[in-house]
Amino acid sequence: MVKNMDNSLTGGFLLSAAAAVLTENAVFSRAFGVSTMITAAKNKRNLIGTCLGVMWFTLCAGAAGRLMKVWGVQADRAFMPLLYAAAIGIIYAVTLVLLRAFGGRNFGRLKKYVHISAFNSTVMGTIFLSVSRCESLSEFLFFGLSSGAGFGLAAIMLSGVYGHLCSEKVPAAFRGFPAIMLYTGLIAMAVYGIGG
Amino acid sequence: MKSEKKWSPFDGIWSHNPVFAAGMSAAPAVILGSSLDTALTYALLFSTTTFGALMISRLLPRKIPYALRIILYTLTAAAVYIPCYMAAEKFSAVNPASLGVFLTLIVTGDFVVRGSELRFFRLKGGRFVTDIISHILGFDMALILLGAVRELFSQGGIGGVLYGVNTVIPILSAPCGGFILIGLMGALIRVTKNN
Repeated sequence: MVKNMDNSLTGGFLLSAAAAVLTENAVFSRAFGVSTMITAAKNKRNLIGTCLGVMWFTLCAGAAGRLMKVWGVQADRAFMPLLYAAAIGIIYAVTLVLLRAFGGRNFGRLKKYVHISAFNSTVMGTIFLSVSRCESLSEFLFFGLSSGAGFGLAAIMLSGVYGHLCSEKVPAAFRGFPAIMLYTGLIAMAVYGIGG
Repeated sequence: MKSEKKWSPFDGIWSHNPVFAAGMSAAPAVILGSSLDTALTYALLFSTTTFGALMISRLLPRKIPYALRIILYTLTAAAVYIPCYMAAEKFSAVNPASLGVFLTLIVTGDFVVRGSELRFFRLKGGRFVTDIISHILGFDMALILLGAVRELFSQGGIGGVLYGVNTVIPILSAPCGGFILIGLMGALIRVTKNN
């Protein structure tokens, strides 16, 4: 009985996680981080590093959103970007310091992922949306993680077909960026169909 | 980056259009470019904030480490955004607050974070200013075009005025419609460039 309940809880959590990553996908439903997604998908060696980097920053963005809510930091709409940009700047600087302290020889190789991942619309959007939607710490962290995972899913899906979309077989007018947008549009249409 | 010899003041408007050719700032184009009113309000705030932020950021010494420079660029943009937002609240037909998260994205957008280092700040003097204006105009025109076309064909009219469009495609106003239209416009630019 207890085991069944555990299974249903785990199943429920997994389902809601899958729904969050797919139907609330940062790229397909809000068009966040499209240029970063293309940069990540272009080179498979950078793909995992960039995806993990974005997940780290969205997770931290969720935590920052929680801190702002707990401390009652509220800004007038005109001052909101200043507050959020300062939060991302602090996370960015702390991440670089941590990487410098613990990354050892890999610091030079890893810091480029930090540069690519920190300042993009997925991270900024996560802070903004989490503050208005989440209440408990777990909700904030889950929202942050699922935003990053959604970005990662989109980048991996694009990476799988990137070579085809840029190949000689695609008519010259559509090769590369136009084909990537059409592909993203078709996936977004499928996601829109699922989510409604 | 395009070499300085091949540089043209109209790059940002057509051949290197930020939305249709360079893939910059896709989020507002896809989401807010679904109706003309919101597109116009966003274009106003985007243009003033981005132009001001890039002009001030250019003054920062290049000796400052890259990581710190990027933070300063975004903070500068956020500071410039404050008076621009207040002005938009007074003069714009649409309350800018209704544009939600996408307004805050201006300060960490591709123009401020990437375009600045990879393109704009590599140009000198008059070319630098002209290139920024051309790219901002290119973005505004793309956003307004997307807004008008998507509103017309998804609702049959613009701003509640019907223009006799019999077949409407509601999905055009969804994000997927934005991506697909950007892809098609990108292909059109390629065709004209190649010819």
